Amino acid sequence: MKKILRITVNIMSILSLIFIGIGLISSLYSIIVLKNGTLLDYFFTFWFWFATVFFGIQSISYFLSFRRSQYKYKNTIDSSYNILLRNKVAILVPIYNEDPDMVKTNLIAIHSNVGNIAEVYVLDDSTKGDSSYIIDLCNRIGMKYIHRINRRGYKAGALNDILKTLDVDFVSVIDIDQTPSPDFIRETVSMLDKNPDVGFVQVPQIYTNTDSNVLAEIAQAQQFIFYEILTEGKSVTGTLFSCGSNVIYRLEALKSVNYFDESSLVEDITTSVNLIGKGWRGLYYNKKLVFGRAPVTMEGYINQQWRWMAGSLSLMPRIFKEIIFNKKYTFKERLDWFATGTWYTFGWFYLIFLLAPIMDILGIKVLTINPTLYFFAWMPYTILLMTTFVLSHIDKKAPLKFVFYNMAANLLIFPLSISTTISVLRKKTKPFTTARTGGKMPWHKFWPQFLIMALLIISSAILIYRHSIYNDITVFWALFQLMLLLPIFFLNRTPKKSSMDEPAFKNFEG
Amino acid sequence: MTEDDIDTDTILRVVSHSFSLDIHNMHFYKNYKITGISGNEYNFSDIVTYKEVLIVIKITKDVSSINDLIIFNAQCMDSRIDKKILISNRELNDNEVNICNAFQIKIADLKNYENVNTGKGHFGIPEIDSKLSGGLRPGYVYLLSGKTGVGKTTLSSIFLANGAKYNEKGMMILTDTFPDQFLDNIRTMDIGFAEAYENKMIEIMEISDQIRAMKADVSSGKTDFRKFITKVVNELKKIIIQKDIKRVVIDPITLLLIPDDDYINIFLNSLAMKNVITIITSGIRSSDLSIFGIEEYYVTGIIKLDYKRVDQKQLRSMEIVKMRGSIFNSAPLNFKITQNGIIIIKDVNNNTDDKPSLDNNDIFKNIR
Repeated sequence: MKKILRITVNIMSILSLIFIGIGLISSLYSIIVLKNGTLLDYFFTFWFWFATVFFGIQSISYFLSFRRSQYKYKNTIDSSYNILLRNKVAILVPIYNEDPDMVKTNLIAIHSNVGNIAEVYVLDDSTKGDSSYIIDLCNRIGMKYIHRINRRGYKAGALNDILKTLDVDFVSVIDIDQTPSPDFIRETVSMLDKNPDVGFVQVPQIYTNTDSNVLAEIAQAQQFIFYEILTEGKSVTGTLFSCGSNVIYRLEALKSVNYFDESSLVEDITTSVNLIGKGWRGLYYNKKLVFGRAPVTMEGYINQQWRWMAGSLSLMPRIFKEIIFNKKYTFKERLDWFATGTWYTFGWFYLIFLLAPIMDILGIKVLTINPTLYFFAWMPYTILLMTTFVLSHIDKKAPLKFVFYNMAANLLIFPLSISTTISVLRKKTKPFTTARTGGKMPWHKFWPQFLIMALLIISSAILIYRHSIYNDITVFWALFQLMLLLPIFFLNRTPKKSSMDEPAFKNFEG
Repeated sequence: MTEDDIDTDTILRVVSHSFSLDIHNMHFYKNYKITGISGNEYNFSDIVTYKEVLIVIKITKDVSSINDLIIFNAQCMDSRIDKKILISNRELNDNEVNICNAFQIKIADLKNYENVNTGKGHFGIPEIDSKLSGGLRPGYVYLLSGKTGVGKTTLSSIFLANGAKYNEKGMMILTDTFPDQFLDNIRTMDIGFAEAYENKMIEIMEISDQIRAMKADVSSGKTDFRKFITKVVNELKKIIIQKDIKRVVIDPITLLLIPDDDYINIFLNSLAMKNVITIITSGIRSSDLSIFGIEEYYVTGIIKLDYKRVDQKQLRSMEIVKMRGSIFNSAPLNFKITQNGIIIIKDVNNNTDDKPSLDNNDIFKNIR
């Protein structure tokens, strides 16, 4: 099985390259040489093929990451315990207007699991509510409480203010909705100790409340792809970026880049780019050492996705300038960063796929190339691509529903990708929000998804009526996309209580 | 007062304080034999060494005769020992003080040292506390192991009840017994547990069905064990902090464990909590100390309980197998369980206590 998968992945990587080439050449050929189409045809064909190139490059990057994760990643990890930790590590826990119950529970959890070997600093930037309960708790269990009078630099600023005063070797950042396991610090510090060129060690984010609703499961499925395949590959290539929480940094490395980058919404990725620029690399340690919570409300999920998108997209010019166009980096590093840097523009490319059936009805051909090429190149390639995607999930022991969730997740939030790209281009921003906030969203906010679904249904009906092989295939894809959009009706719902929130101990009142 | 009444830690603290010596470089010896200049051999019942220096200890309860002190001094001189100390728990009379001053024997009043809080958790049974050099040190996890019905639950209940007497809140986590039945049974013993429970000095907890289900998932490999440990330990510590609990008993620990070295290591290590004494109990199966044969490696101390038949009677015994960071006496103690709790039997052959023993009744076993 492993061998077959290896061969398939290799073939797919090469096929993707060939396919991108064929696509570009044939498009240009059809437009420039054959000139068989209107300006609108050319426009949409370009868009369509551009989308295919985009996903082609993303696929190559994905398959390469998968290969590295399969065959090289394990050799980069040598796990062991480090027992001499006292006075070496500081734990920073940023807090901003959080739910008091969650803060209490998780501060105790953080304290009990890492507080005996490291000083815990609670960085409370809250602007609302009463924080006296946090101060009381910190005093009782011996954690340092820090409240700033201003919010300069937001999370990065809060981290930097304390970092400049610390005299430790390593600093770990743990978000308040994350719970480290008792051996998190010992294991990760050991990695930093053994690898002096490593600036930070990232561990995966594991959601424990996935039984709350489908949304939490989808969020976990997305994390699965990211943490089981992509980051393992990135760790091998040296293109890993830190994810802001569940990470431990070498303080010397942070000092070398003047601490966290306060200019960005995603201080984690930006700081990683700075660290890489200074010659540090990140190491990914794929062990379940920190447990967190998935967003369970659509608003929380959108907030999380928006922040990741806006942050990454605004960082794109720097990634191009400092890494992709910089010859000091290898081709595979640049390819990897290209895939990372451009990923969140995916909404634009999904849009043309979603619009293709209705374009057909309107008489605008998004594929001005001849049907033969379509049947013998595009179709088999797409099917093979999806099969390999499924196989890679199976190989990583993902539940099969994760394949569906991962295909659906990005399609479902394509409008967010489009609107965020526009916001970033217009340099418009909105206040910082976390995935832990918000609730159910009004249904009208999903009008783009509903509109597209309506268009897919109408165009499918008409195309079925106008029966032809070409039309039937278009209908197949239209219905496939419609199926992926259907979960929208299940996502925007009130979550149920996760079994992880049920008490472990019952008090007996005799 | 005999040397058994004073724990080794206290003796070391007295000596350290009286002679201004670092306690960490001291070693305590019992029945230390020295041949004097005269050729006579002396057997000093208590002696402390500090590097090359010997310090002889005389413990006195009753009024010492002048003669006694003269002989003690003579033995020390013949043995070329000039550091001598008389430890007493009463006011010495003028004669004793004068003699000690004349012979340069230091005097230490035990009361001044007993009041110093060592922070150790006592069982309230002097013989056991003495063997443990005063009790169990907070911040660590201890294993109480033994066959079923040997008295693990009783001893750990006594430990919690005794803590309550000193205003230390306790928590009993029952994993395989119904709490109401446990309480009914513990009420039959006059150990102060039920009263402490009613006064809210002891909490009784049981593990939830959710934890049982999750544990089953961990055992079958469906759930990552760190997720389970993190959940259990965090909730436990949350309760400990919120209720200001100082003594915790998990009876037995087995239902929360899986037979995996890594698992048991992480679980037991993470149970340790600053200022809190945690006792876990375990039956015996794979080794003579625990069910999985792994538990004993990851605890700070082990007290093993056992029983055997002697002359148609069941004789229980207790021994300290391991106690990291403490000086302990590993000689076994014999005991019986009565309505007054655990009674130490000093003379096995002359055990004529007519209080009914609760032997043979495994009163806490109501396995679900």
